[in-house]
Amino acid sequence: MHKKSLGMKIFTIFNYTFLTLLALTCLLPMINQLAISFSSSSAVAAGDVGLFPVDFTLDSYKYMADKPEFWKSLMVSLKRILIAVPFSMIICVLAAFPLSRQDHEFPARKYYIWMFVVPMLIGGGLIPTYIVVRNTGLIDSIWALVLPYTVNVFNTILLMNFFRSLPKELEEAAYVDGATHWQVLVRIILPVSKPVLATVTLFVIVNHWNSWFDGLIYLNSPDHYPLQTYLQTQVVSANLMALESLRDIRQIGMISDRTGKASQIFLAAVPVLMIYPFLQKYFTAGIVMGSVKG
Amino acid sequence: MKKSKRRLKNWSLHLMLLPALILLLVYNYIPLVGNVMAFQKFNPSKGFFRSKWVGLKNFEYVFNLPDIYQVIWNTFYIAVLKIIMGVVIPVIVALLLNEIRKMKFKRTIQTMIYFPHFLSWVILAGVFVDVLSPSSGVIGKAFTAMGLEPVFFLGDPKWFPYTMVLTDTWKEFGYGTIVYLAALTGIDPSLYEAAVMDGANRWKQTLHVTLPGILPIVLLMSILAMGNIFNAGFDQIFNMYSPQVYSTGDILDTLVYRIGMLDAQYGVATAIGLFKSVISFAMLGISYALAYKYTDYRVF
Amino acid sequence: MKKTWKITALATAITIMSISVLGCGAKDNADTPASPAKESESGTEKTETEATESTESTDTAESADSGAASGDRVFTPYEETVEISSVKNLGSGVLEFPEGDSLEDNAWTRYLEETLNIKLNWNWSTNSEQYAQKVNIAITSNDIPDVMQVNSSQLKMMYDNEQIMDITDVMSENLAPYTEEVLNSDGGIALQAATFGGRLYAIPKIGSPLLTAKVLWVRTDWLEKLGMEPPKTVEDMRNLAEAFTTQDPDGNGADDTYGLAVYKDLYGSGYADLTGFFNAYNAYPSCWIEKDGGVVWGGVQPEVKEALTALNEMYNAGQLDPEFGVKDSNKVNEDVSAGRFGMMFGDFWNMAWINDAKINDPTFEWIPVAIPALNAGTPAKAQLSASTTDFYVISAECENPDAVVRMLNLQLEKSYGETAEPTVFNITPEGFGVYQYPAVALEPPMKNFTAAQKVSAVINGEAQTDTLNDEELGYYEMAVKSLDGDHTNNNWHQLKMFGPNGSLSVMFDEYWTPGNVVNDAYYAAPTETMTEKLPTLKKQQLQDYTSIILEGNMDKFDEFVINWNKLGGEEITQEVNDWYAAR
Repeated sequence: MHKKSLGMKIFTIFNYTFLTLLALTCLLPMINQLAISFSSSSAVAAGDVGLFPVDFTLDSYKYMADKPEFWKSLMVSLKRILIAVPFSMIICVLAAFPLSRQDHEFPARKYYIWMFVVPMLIGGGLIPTYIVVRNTGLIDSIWALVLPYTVNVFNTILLMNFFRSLPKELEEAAYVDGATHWQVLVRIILPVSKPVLATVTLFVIVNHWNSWFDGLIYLNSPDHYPLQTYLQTQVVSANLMALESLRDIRQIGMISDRTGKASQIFLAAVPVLMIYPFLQKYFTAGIVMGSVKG
Repeated sequence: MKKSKRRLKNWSLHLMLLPALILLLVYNYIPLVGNVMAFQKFNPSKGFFRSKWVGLKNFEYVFNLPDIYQVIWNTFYIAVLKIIMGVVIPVIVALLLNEIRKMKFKRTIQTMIYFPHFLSWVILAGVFVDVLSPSSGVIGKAFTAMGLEPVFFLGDPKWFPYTMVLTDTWKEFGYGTIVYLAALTGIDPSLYEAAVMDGANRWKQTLHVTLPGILPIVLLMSILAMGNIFNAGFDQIFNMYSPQVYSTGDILDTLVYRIGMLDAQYGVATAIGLFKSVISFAMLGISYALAYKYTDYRVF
Repeated sequence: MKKTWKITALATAITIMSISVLGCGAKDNADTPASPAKESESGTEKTETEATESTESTDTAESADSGAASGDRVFTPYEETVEISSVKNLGSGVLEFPEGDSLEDNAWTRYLEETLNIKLNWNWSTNSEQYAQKVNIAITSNDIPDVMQVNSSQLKMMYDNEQIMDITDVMSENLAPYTEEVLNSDGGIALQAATFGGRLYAIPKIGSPLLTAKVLWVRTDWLEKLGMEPPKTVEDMRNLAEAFTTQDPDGNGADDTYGLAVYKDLYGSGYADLTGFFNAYNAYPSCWIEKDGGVVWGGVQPEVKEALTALNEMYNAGQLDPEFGVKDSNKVNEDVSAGRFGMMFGDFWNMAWINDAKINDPTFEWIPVAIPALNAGTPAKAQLSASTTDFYVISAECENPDAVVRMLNLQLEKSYGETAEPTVFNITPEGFGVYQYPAVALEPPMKNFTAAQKVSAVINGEAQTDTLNDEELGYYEMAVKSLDGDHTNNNWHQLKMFGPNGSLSVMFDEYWTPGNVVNDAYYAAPTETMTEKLPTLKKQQLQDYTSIILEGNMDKFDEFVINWNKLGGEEITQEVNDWYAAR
């Protein structure tokens, strides 16, 4: 280990080069979009923009700054996350704790766990879910984007496995001292579960940030759409459009405004990319222990 | 005595599960009723209970479509390759990254490979048509420069499924890598020390310590992926396929889109969904059982 | 079926006449026998309200200065406020409103409340991309507003589900003469598409079939460079395609240009759309055509084979992009903008997508010409698709269907009728598209062609700007700006549509006036087998056409025809012919 063999050196050089190239291929399309967002629309239309902006301009960002819909939907997304994250975390942690008990301590566990696994495999489909959401009075409310997704089975399993992997000694001692389940969860388990909590929080944020279809079907007006739903209405391909608006000459003026789209794509990814490094350090432990039973 | 005392307090465990169970019941279990649509000529004004029952007619309809078996095969083939690649590539990249000692470099690479995940297929489809163009694309030019006949990745039915698998792997391997890398970091260092004592070189260490160390999480990820056995990736294929590659590129979801969604034939769409669920259920069950049998590892 | 409609239409005409001539008393008589049994329970109540309205209407009719028969009761307010719920397709972008206005409160909603005492409630609204999806959800979860815009398959589905109202009688009682004129302006084809079992179930959002005709767009700066003329015949077009490919029309010294732009699904998008190419060979690949006293599917006719042979030759000669098979129309548009193509078939609006390239390079110039003729002297016939793709349906549970019809009367009258106020209800001087706000809206189908003629006349100096209405004036001003070199804000695109020899003029003068058109011979709701098997057949057709173009294996076409018939085509053809015979 101390003295590197020649083979090892060659490998190291290869490794650095390879990984750098790999990472670059991942970055290029994003850089291309970024370059497009800083270029003039005519240069983009002519296909001149590669990895660097052509006719550098901030027009599309200025345009975006003036676009109230963009900011409105950004606020909706933030609100959604502020509600969904604590709500989802509390309920999933509360569910994961009993599920992490030993079978002999909590015999009902093995029935409960299947109740969580089944929905992962079979869904009711769009319409029945829509009808339930409607009948629970959530249409056009932010809760329609929160409640149906609160219990995330994958996240619950991750939490459960993490709890199971913790050393048993501490909680045993607490139980002997007469602690209740609540006290064990809050005083013993949670303080040492930061990694998995951070990981699951990131997952919840990313899920909510990126989902768009639910916003479209449960909300009644584009004014109420979260950011990704709004972007979807702006960015999707203009193909079918042509036919639909054919009747109405005045609407055909719409052109695929690619610089605007690119800047919106970029702006929408920024918040998640910014959160990621902060949570990254917890990520490791969270995932490892969440998936490996101790 | 200790046990019975604990048992007594279990009502609080049930209580903790209650909110999650209620939500599951309302938003996951009640909608399951909707699957009866698969056996109905669904009429919204009559609802789920008074619509006309048609038995297995929707299924018959699906399985009588010309090309249906080709389409099922395409779906299965693409999905399985994606599942395999979705495990193999991230594991390899994670192993390579694990050899990197410079933390900053490691972390930067990690963040960069996570990027493509945030671009939608609508955008990426346009990018790939350019990049993979046999005449003007980077890759086509590289082939020509090496004296090879450029491959028409998106237009050649022979290549199309592999192009889908590779581009999808490219987009999503960052996430998997992070997961496996995390698992690698979690391996007990004393195991390596012991291996070194036994005279194992790097390669042997990888084989005997590292791989077994991340096996559980590889299994977990693979088993969960089995649920996707019939999800070949609608967004991706819908945005990238074309009539000239229908023979190998048309999948269940694109077929349903063309037949079901545009005309909103929900009975048919539900029938296909149910079919997919049953198969996924079976696959998941089998892989769960196998994993338990051979490695004694329980995911749930 | 058609006969029945004629009778209904006649009844409508008589009803309206009797109202206007004889006044209220006669109207009630004409009314009662026509009322369907279904509505009989509310019948008495209804007659009462109507009687009051009619009395009022006599007053207003006298005071109304229009003096025409249209000043009758259908424009008078309801006693009590009538609420109508609807949903809104916001179009492709964001709907903009004058300061302080909104979808709920704007020129139209205020005018509706004032004149008819109708209050409009929007259940939801979304952009056109997502609209069909939300409508499907509304239909399947049975969340139907009083009135909703749907497409033809949704219409059929809602009819099958008994979710929509038979509006035959409501229409005949409430239709204003001008509305009726507009609805019948295509000879009743659109109304036929909304008729099931002889009864009317929807108001067709009538469009002009002519707008679906394709033109050939040609790059004139390249023509000039090579000293060539716009193509008149197929031979000209083929020669031009070759010249554009081989003679370096962009003068950059590189072999990087193609004759004709094509995209991966061949036809249907309206941009780089081969429909026009097929039409040049008297082939009609995506519609039903009349032949030997019956109806046949255009896609399996021998003429298609000739067109495919030609495309294969062009492909082999490098006149088509060798990678067209993977490029969607957006992608092709990038190449057109980048100056790779010299010709493309497409819709009248195609220049909208390359207006940016024009701004970038003002020498970039295109003209629309008619589809070239196979034999000089016999002009090609343009394929017209069913132009009415959308319908307004009234929920079976709607309590005031008559209010919906009256809203429509008002919309048409105030937008395009004799008492129209286009600056208030169409486009405001500040440029707000008020025409997009109403829940139900029609427009006279040929108005864009009229506008093109009037705008062209003014540009050519044959008429004065005062002959133009405000909407036309807008087009004129944009076109003139483009002529002066300012191509921004789609000015150039407007010039290419409305200007002299613009696409709309080409279509009107070369297709419509001389009758060089082929109508889709089937225009009823899709048949059972169609819904079931047509998607598969269309897929097969595309797949086989594409491989023929790429590989030139002409036997494959005969194979395709046999397969097509076997896979359900024969059955569908039979159904279509049954419909055709019974029409």
